[in-house]
Amino acid sequence: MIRVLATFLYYFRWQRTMAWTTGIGIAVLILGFILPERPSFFPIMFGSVLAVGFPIVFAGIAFREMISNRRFVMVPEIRLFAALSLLLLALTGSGISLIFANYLQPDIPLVDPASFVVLTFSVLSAYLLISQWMVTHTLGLIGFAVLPLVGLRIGMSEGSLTTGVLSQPWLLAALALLGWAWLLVATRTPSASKPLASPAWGQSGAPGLHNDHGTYQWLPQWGTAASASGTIMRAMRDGVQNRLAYIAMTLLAFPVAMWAVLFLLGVPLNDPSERPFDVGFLLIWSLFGLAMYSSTVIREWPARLRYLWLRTAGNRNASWQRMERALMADMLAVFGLAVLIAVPFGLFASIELEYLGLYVAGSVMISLFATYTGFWTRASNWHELVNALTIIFLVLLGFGSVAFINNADRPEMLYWLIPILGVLTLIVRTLARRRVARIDWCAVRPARRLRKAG
Amino acid sequence: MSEVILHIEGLVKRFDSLTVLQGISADIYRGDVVGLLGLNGAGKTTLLETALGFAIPDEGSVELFGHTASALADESVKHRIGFVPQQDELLETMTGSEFLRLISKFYARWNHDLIARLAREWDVPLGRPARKLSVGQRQKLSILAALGHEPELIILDEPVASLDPLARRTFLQELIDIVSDGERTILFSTHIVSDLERIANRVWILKDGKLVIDEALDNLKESTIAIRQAAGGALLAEIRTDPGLSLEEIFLELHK
Repeated sequence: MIRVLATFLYYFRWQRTMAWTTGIGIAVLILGFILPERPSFFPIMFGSVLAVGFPIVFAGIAFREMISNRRFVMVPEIRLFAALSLLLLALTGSGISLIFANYLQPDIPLVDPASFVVLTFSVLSAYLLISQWMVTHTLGLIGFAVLPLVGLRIGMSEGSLTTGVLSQPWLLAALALLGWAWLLVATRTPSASKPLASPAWGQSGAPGLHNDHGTYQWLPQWGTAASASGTIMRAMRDGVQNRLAYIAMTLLAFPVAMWAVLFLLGVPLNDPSERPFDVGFLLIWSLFGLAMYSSTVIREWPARLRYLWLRTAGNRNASWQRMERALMADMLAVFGLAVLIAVPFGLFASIELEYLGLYVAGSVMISLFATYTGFWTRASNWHELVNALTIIFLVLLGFGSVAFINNADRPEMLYWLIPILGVLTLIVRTLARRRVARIDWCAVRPARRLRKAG
Repeated sequence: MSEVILHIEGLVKRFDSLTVLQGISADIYRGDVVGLLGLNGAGKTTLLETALGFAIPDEGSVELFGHTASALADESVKHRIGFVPQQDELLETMTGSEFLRLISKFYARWNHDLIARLAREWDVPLGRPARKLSVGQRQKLSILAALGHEPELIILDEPVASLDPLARRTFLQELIDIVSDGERTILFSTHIVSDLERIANRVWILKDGKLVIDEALDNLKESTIAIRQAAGGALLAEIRTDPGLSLEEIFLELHK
């Protein structure tokens, strides 16, 4: 048990920014119980997201490296302990959900607290288990995409199907346990081929939907006219195709998953005008996904600029302009995809045009804000605590926005989000530009990529 | 006297409270092959990267081809430089040929014949994605990417660390060929002293962030070496070297 715990804790030491967000999350969570108004919803919700939500979101892929027995091959039984600590993470998440089961009970008409916890365990297990194969295997990828859609479909069905599924939480939990048993058995058998070391999206040599260039074949090959500068900076083949794939995933994954959960719990969503909270919740969460994408993926660009600076005309300011041009290409993709999502949303869910406009503008603004913040902190080479605080601020922004929407008397408050973000973005852009103009590439080195030896 | 390619004057570089380079002054002339030695953490990579302009000096100055290194803007000057970093910059999903083609797009001139010949001689599998290459093969590919535009100054940060003996020998021979016309200049760091002895005509030894030795290789073995204190150039110590002493023995003597 100690070794399982050690592996579990190693995950947080390994992902150092997450260690800080988790620590702060636990502190906020505790605060939720000692505040005068107990239990206090906002700190509990916020603390849970930081303490457990983030680790669960990233755990599947991170633990895959240990479970696939590549980098840690010399550690005895590491695959088994890694699998068990992943299970421990699912159990922790389910345990935390007990708080919400009790607190949210009046809003969840279809399940009792115990069933809610069991269902949470099943869903978390499905996500963590599927994400073991999500990056490199077709089935994992399809499973990841289908999981929330199935939830959505079940949730939207009138009566019997939803009730039928929700009335069998123990059956779902048994299936989840079967999945864990399968994983544990799999760790006892040697890997057939050389496992990959936590590859980035689309960088697998495993059989599946990938072609030689690591892109998904079912996407049209628009990206062949890749820009050389963009390719160097992104550390991946630059082109419309790859930009869209990343952004579409971040724009869609969060709202679909959240929508599925709300539907499954029987929260009525039929009339958005009566339930602005839910609609806002969904939209804002997709913005949060974009913010995460911008502040984590694009954040590496200032470090990689050194490869361009050494080969192209212009000083560091010119490199900044080059980076900004690439960013604008991404923002165009964010804008286009947000419009594409907003149109059917507006047509079929009868959501007011203002909300949709807000969603599109918010998508672009929050992406810009998060990206410039990422540039600023990365170029400054600050401590992980600063990165953690940046992420926390972005999450707070999402929660704050939801709180605005939830205020039925003052829904127009949400519109302040755009100008506020605009001003903040301008400030952060200035700070980032100043930093990049004096960037020290000896200190800000491009992230070391894990390699798969031949 | 031939043209000064790299001029370093009173260079100080700090990371927070840690001073990594302490008042380094040195020049490299056209046709020089300078080998840089130092213990782990002595500041070799920082010195090479600051010489390239990746870092802005805290004190002092670095000039490349007469231009301030950290403010280099002229593309034609940058294209006279080739760099092999310690940690390669290969893109995992690209094959070797694709990566070289990508890099060649940045340069007006690219010697395809040279790269094809070297890739053949060094046995670099250009058709394989970088993620499927061994560490040594990746290093060879990095070197190819730095040589294709035939730079006048080549800076290499431990280029042979992962190469097998055969590849190391052919690589060093290639470097000797490259500098044989006296027009190219090389600055490289290494821990393999015998390699340095084979091709370098000048040796830099870094100790605790100070350039304690900057001597022609021939002089180093046959004279009393004054170890200078970097700041101000005051005499710090002297060691006597015998003609029979190897560079490795001199290095060890220095670090006693």
